[in-house]
Amino acid sequence: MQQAELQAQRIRAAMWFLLPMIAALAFVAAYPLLRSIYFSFTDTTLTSLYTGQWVGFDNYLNWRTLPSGRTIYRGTLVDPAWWNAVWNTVRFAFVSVSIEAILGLMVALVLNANFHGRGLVRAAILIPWAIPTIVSAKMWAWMLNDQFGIVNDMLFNIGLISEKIAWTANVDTAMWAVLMVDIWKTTPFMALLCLAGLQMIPRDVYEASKIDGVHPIKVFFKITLPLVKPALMVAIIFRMLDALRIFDLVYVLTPNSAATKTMSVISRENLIEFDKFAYGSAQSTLLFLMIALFVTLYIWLGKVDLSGDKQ
Amino acid sequence: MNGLKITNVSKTFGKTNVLKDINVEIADGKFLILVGPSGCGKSTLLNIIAGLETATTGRIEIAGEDVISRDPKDRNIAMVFQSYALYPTMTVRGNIAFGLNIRKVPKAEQQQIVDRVAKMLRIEDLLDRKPAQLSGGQRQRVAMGRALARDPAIFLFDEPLSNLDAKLRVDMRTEIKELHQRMKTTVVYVTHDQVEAMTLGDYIAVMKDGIIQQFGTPSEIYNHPNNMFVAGFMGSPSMNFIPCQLTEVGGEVGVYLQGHTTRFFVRLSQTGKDYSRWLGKNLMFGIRPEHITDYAEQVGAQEAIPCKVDILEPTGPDTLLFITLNKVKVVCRVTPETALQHSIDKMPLYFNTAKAVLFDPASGLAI
Repeated sequence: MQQAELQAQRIRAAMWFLLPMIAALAFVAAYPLLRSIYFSFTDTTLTSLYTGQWVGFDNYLNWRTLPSGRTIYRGTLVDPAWWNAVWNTVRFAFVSVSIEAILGLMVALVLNANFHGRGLVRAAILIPWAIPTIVSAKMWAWMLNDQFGIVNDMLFNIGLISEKIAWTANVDTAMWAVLMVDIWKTTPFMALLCLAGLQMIPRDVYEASKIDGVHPIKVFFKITLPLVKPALMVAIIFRMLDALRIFDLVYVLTPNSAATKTMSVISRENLIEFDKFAYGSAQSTLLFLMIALFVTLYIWLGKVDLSGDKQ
Repeated sequence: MNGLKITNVSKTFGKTNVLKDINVEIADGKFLILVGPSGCGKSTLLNIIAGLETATTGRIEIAGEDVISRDPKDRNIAMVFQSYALYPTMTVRGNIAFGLNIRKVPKAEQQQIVDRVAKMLRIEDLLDRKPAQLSGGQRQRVAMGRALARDPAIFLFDEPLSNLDAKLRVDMRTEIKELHQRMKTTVVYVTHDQVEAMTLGDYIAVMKDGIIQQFGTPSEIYNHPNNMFVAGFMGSPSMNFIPCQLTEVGGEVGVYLQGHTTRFFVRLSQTGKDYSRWLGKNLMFGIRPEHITDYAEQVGAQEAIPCKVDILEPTGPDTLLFITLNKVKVVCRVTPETALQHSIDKMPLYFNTAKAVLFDPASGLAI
């Protein structure tokens, strides 16, 4: 009886500690999210934010049959610009996160080794991650500039290219430019999370493998990788969430390029620039649903342990 | 044949000498204990034997072969680690067989070895579990199983029992001893626990500050310690060190001890030792608790001395008495019955000086 009372008391205390957090989250996350979702079912515009009428799923998909018998479909779900953005985003997310995961793990393995000045290198490697995205995007925009950029200059001087390339403006290279900058920027983050995972691995397992005479490559795949996998999976999920809603880098580095426009970029464009507030809200809602679906699938299929209960 | 021969091994990290000129040699099939407080270099020495660390100078011979330049895998050794070092993603079977797998032992033979080892260690029903699903004692068995599967020239144990609870530790200790008696393979066993050292070892090397303080059989180490460190480290409760002055009374050499109320003379009964040059010098009189006792027979003719007991600690099989002699606290060990029979103000105690050791307090060395 006393035990139950103590338990109840603990739960009450926990609730009081959680309350400010829950209130803040409700205010800055739940409310805007629900309001966006609500907007997506109305005909709200920027000039009539509070007077939008309920239109059901029209922003997602609606159709009209013309007197000629032809049916016209409209809405985000049949908008080629939207699907282009979806494709761009998905492609960007998978390529960037895959490369970042591999590079990050490699960097982490190096940083996990014992060498002189390791602390300094660990700090130095974080610099790209520490620079605000807007700044690094601008910096790279200049470096990749077709006329004054140092990248073109160097490639041209050593003879790798015969004419200067407009990396960010060219449809063929724009996505690669964005990918490259993103990988440059976020590999350190991946590396740091992987490094944390690597440092959890007890050293004597490696000593045991030395006595067993296990080849280093086999050690990596049989021992290191399975042990660092939980940390890596969590790192990947963080990066994937970031990558799926990427906005700032694309917006600054390659403005208005159809080759790189992502879901976030296109929904902002509709929300603000094209004054299709409700339409943009519908796209935001779809983006939210896609990320939610992806994360659920990932956690479920990957058996990712976010609770930290298992060891 | 040599089981293990360590010649002039030294190890320096920067300016610190972790090991200083270590020389040890044991015959094949013997059980060698490296014991000492933490930081004494015992684990480093074990790692050097294993090849996990390199010696700055010196040679290591295992089963008659110089292995100093060989990789750990080519030294024909097996090692059991303090925290077991099981491969967490593999089953027990996988853990035991992994080393065999790497050395391309045929599958059927692997199976046979795993089964034999599992039976020996009574872990047959755990073979398909992962290490995380095992208790500490079970993991310990698996770690030993992995070592046994290799059938090496020498087993290396790095404080294998220190993560187990007290009761399990005693059980496993017996089991390790049993296994060794059955396998007759050379063992080097690192521990900081002097009870493990005494019970398991054929030979003990007591280490401190990177130096072997004394090397010998358990009884040599226990009964004839080289110096005050070895004397104090081995045995629990540890040996009493009583500052005293060596005196000659009526042709008999001994020391005066001052209790709370009484002052008495204890005659030294060591035979064949010439103490003449130490007469009148300040020395340390080292005597183990069990040699200040109620058991008259083992002590010989000396009479009991009534001592005032400060504190009385029953441990079960015997009772520890704390008395004060020459202003230091001294532990004695008597039977519980004696402790109850007599008044604590006048506890009759016999001093078995035949087992006492005198030390030069300046050098710490035994006289």
